[in-house]
Amino acid sequence: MSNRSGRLGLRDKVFLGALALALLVNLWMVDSLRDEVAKLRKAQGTGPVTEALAEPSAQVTEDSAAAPAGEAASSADRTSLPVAQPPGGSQAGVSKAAIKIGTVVTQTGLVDMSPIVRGLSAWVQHVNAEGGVNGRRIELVVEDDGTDTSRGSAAIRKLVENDKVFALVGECAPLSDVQNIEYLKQKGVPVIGSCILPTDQFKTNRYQFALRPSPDTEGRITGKYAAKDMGAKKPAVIVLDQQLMVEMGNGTVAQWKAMGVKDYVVETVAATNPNFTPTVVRLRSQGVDNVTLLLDSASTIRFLQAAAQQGWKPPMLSISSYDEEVNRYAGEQAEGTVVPGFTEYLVTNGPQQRQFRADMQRFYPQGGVRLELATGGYHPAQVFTDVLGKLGDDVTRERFINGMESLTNYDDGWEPPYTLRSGNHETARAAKFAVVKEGRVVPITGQWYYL
Amino acid sequence: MTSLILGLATGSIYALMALGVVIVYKATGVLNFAHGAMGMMAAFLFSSLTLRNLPVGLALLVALLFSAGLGVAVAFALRPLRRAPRLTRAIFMLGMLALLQNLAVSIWGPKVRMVPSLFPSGGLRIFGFVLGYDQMGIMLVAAGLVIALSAFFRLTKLGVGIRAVSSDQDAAALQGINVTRITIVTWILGSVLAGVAGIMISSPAADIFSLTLLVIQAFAAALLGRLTSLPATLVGGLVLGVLTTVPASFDALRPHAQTIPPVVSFLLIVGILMFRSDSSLISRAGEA
Amino acid sequence: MSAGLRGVGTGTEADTRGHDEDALGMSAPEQGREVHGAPDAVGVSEAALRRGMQLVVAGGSLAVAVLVPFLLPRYWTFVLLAAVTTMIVGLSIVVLTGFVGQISLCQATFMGVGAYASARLTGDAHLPFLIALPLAGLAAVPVGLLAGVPALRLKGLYLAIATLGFGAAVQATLFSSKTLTGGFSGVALERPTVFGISFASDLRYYFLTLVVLLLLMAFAANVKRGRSGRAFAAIRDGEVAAAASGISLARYKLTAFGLSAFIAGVGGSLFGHAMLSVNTSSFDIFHSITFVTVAIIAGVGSVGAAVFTGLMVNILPKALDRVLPGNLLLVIFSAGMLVQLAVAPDGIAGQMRRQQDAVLSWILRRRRVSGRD
Repeated sequence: MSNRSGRLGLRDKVFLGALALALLVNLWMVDSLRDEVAKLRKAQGTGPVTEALAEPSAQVTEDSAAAPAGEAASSADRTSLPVAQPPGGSQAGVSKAAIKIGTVVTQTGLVDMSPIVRGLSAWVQHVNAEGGVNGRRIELVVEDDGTDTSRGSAAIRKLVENDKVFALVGECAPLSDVQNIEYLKQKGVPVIGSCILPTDQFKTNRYQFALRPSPDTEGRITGKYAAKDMGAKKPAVIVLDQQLMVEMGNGTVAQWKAMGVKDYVVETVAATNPNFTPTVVRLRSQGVDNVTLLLDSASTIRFLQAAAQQGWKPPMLSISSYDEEVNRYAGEQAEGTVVPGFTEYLVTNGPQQRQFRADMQRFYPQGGVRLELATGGYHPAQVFTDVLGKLGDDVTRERFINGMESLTNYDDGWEPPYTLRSGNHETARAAKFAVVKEGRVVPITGQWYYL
Repeated sequence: MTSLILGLATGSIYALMALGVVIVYKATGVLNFAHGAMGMMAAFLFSSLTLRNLPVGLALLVALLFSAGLGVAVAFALRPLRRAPRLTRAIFMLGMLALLQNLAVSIWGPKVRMVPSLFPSGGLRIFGFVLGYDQMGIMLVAAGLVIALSAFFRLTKLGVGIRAVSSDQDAAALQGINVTRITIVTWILGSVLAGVAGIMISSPAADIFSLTLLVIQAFAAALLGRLTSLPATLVGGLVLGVLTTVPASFDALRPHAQTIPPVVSFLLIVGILMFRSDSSLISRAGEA
Repeated sequence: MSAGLRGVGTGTEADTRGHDEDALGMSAPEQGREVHGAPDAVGVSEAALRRGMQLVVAGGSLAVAVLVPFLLPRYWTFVLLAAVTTMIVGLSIVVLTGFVGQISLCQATFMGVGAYASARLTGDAHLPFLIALPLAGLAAVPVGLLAGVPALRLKGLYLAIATLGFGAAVQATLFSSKTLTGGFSGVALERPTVFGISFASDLRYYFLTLVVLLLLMAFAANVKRGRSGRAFAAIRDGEVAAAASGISLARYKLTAFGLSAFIAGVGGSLFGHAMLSVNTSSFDIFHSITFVTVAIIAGVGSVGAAVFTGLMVNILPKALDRVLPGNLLLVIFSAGMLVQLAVAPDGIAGQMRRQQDAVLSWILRRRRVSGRD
């Protein structure tokens, strides 16, 4: 058993050999990853590879008159891109009488996104009450992942393979979604309006239509506003260590670099950080004159209170400050915080918003639904049925994707007009900024602010 | 200097959490992985009560009574395992952790809860920054508790009983001490301490996980205190707090500020455990 | 497939009666059982009977495992294959905790290393899956050895804390680093193609993972029966005695950690290819804690107990989530686990074994009463 004699037996040699091999693999991993990253960094400057299609000159102007929704350019005539038929068929979920869509939304567990389901359902009911889309009802199947990634993955598979849904609409299961992107891509399922999508997917994944700017772009817009419009000389960005926020933070920093801002501070915080006082003190001692918070609600409150305690009130931007609870608890300190928003807030009252309120009232008369979240289901559902309607009788996933990818200067009433193309599924790179005034979130200007 | 004081403030948080862990461990041999979660439940209850406009003092009292009840419940839940080795009971507490977290989500939902501070807002201006009254409060409470508890253990009958059970359960039983009763009292004490720590640390906003993750740092502090002595635990917490805060003030490490606490705690834990010559920690045949 | 696979081989355990309890307070299985196989007049020894029972249980389980994807709705296949990867991790815990009595709260860390390694090996290096898989397991070994170093001085609870801290530290640094592991975006993996057959479908991949699980179980059972296995058991049952009889504690403990890390790394790789993408949050300390907690409740005394880990972590919640509302389900599940642990500290597998023994005694009693005298 023990090799007291000191000589290496065969087993020991095998063991040592395996160990050496293991170490080699580890070293190789570290090295190869470095190479990969270096390559990626170099490649980031180049734009996406687009199909050789006729590009209409999409000049998106600042002043967007409320154009009638939908100008899908001759989608019906476009030839399909040469892609293998996904399993389940391009016509999954389509029957003579109905089109089946699905969504996985986290409703139980640690997060509650159920308002999204309400919004989604409200529009679906609205459409069905008016006869459906080209005579077909929309059937909605909703699954919950309970904040458990394996349940989320199972739920997605159920929707795709069991229920055979045509597409996913209003998808929002923050924990599970990132893992399921690959699966959905392999199965060729279009996803319209998901609440989390990594930046690279906007370019490389033809099935994902998140109907928003990418996190990177959102970060850039925020950074631009801080540096340009708020005149920050030494801005800081506090980033929560979660994918979406990190990508936003990277965008913010990239924007500052591009604008020639030399002096900036970046700090990453863990979601569970209870004590922001050291952070506040550090920032202040460095002479930071503008702070962008890319945090969740709880951390935002903690930061604001820590800053209040230190008697420090720099100009601030905060993505979580649309949440009235945050502003209520932060009190005076939250006044004047700028809130970037990437789809229409309900503070505006355009035709889509009025219809939204009417529908929510009609289908959920008991109220109690967080409307600003519910738009996250309603808005994608509207876009979905609109593009679907243009396909006529012949509804296939391919034609639908082509339809989405030929939207040009499309004004859906929630965002500035956008153009989607193969290789770029980002909507308009713009935001509307609002500010916290007396605890309420009010828009700064009615205009969209472009990158 | 600034970061030193901030480090002490952070360290007091670690120490405050660690106190309950150490007391329970000493007397029962159970390492309470669910300590943070127990504190979290008290904080959530406190938050709910104050939201219903209960005066802060009353809400605090009710929340701590709840903590006491929770301690009793845990003590009873552990009874079937009282002969099991420490590791099994610690694993049980891990399961209890999951239970409490899920229970909290079921009752109160997953959202963050607001926890009013027990101390006046504002603070003292020193060395160019403001040290909040709440942070000073935590430091004072931590130190005060150490003194009070040490006195309790030395001077009161109950306290002496706990100490007796801590050092040798069987001998204590032979002396006529009701070990079961002592165990329950110890759990009540530990749980209430968890509640106090939870409520004070969670303000202004409590969420489900942060206290649990804080418990790892608390373990490190407790280990520094050799898992036996309360004053040493306090010192251990302070040292840990300083060690995790001061390096972040150096420019080179600033972007990595968040990775420092777990890494430092881990290295400290392993270092202490491995290089102490204290025989009670070294693996021994049959020793759990 | 030998009987030693699913149950516990009766050979080695018979020698270890009457020793101290190990770190988990579990006596070796079959403690106190008379298993010296003296045949009775009917000609069948108790040992043979026991072996027969184990064969039946093992065979039955295998049959169920093969048939069940065809009996359940199709989307269950994914749950099943996730469960199998969990079983592999459970096996790694059986090897470390059940065989040698060492506790580790960082199995998810080993999984992660295996997953990331596999992603790179199949992705960048374009290695065939059959080569990448064991290499991925190997890649986790140095990490396991590192995690095992504290085991040389610590035991039980303190080792648990040390490994917990190790897992937290690795997750905060290596797994979160964008350059090393892709940080939050994580890495993408693909379903493998082996010998020209594509395993992209969930059903085929399920069978692939099942085969790997069985191979690993056979391997583990083999280790248990061999020289190392006896050394492991000796260490588990009493380190001082083991050291006194010439067993190198350091060597075998580290070997155990390495072995456990290897198995967990393979499990992690299969997990990654199953999920098609993994990132840092897939391998955090909460996962490690869950694995070990459930594994202990499921029982780590035997190789077969690993099966229960997968059942409890993946299958049971999914099976129940139609019956109970989400949050309540988790509460009841956690409470149930606690009750289970209180009732049977040696785990579900231990319970099953005791039931097996009860059945066995009943059979023997009947035979003695009816047949001979």
